Amino acid sequence: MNVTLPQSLGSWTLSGPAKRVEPQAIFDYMDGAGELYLGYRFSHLDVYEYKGPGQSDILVELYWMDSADDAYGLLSGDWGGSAVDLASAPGRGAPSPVRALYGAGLLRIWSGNLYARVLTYEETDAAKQAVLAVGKAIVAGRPEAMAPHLIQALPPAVGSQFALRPDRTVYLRSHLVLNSAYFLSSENLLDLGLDCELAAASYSGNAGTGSPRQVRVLLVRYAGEAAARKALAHFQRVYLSGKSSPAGERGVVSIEDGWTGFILSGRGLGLVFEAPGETSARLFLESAKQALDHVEAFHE
Amino acid sequence: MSDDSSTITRRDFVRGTVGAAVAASLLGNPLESSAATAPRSYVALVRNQGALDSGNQVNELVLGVMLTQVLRSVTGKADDASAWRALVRSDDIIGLVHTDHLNRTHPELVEAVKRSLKLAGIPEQNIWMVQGSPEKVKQCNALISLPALKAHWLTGIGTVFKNYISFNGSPSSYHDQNNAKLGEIWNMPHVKGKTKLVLVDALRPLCDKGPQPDPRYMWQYKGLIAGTDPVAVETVCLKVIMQKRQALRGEPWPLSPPPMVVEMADKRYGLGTSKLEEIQIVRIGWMEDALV
Repeated sequence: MNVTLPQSLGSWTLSGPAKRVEPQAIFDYMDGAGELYLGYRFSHLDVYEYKGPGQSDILVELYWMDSADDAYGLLSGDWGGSAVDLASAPGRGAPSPVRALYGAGLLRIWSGNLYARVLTYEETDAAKQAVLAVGKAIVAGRPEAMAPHLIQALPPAVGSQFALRPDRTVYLRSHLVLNSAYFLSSENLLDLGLDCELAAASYSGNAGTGSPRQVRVLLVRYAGEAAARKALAHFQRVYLSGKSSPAGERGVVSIEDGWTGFILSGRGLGLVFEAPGETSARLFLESAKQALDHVEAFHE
Repeated sequence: MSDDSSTITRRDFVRGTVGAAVAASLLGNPLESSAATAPRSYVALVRNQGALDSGNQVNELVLGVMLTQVLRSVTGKADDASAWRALVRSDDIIGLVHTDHLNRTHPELVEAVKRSLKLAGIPEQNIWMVQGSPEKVKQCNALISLPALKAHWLTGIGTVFKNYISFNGSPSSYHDQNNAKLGEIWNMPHVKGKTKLVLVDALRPLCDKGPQPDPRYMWQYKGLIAGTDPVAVETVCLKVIMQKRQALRGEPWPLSPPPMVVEMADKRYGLGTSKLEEIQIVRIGWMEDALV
């Protein structure tokens, strides 16, 4: 479903038709930033500009993705800003999940298979209202999607001491994007690619130590069991190099920054990093397995 | 797949087997000097509260004064013309390398540099804009790099070394993990030894999610950061970015991916020092929230 933007917004006027940016030309438009979008299943980009006399331009970028999951992934890269409900209507029920975030002149939107950025370079009250009006036009009539299953499967808490940080939860497919969220390696250690999906999550807790601690969890779903098994072997060989870690499909090991664990479940791979102890690492692994199995059951 | 033994992992950072500046970036630790040694490199930090107005418009008069302060500080000369003569020759073809896209260098800074060069006796026809053109760079005798300070989602920091990405003729070859090798461009025959000054536009930097502009992470720093050692300049820029991130969140906010380019530029390509203890920062002007 396409988007129809208003021709004018207060003193701003749409300057012309969209400039279409295809994947092969995205580096011409945004240099290396294009890798972010190519790290998801990216279809194309439409760019519009609003111009107003004596006002900063308003830039509208519509990133059309192959799936709603991919558009969600782009929003999930940064949960900063204030949540705005662009589709709100009087009498509506419970608030929807976060689908749009606004901060300092930038509005970011996830709407079905569309990810949008609406930006004013100089935030004034009028510019903010115009940006939000564009946002409402973008989502108008578009069906809302659910968050990816892998994200929904993340347990809100692990044990009694660790709580999910929704603001640190990222959905991705590319190792470059993973390294932006949580750096593991200079290489593609988990064999990620567009045929995979990964939920990267942080859990906060003090685990009885009195000081806050973040445990990192990665849930990866591969195209098949063989790919998952191969990725685990790659991870064990490189990341756990020098450790007498347990072989096989499940294990925990103490490394420099805490306990790390891995678990294979069908086409799913769960990884835990920076757990404070062996017991908590195993607890996280078990919850990772349950989450992966839950996703698999849904797909079946 | 590359050779596993050359792969750098998170564990290398925790173990301290990579340089301090880069490790601190990833782990969210403060980037501090260890025991002081004799400085190897000088970096000038010039700031002026009047450089930008509340609407982010540049005060060109103030910027001109800041440029003068930078030139004199970097060269130790008493006037702008002498400073430029210490950096370039009057018959040099001088290439100005600004960031022309996505958080670009303020045009007012580029114009101020041009104006200053001309006043120093450099003929206008010898001052070229060379961003994006390896062919023009080949014809230059001297380069003045004018990048804008920004974090970069793909490289950690996307300022000094990223500014020459087009000079190898294939920028996208550095978009993956090869971005750590950006320093090699500075050793290519048509580039090597030509950079006489690195002058970073830190008027309104971007401390996260670059290179696409995101005003949530842009702030009025109102500074210029400059030197002749590109690694030292990038290291000071890195510290500014890291300190700002911590100040914004009130807790360590690691820069991910870690800016391996800084480490490699120092250790592999020998372009300068990334050790803060070897860098003397000369601070001039307004220093509130200077972050370094």
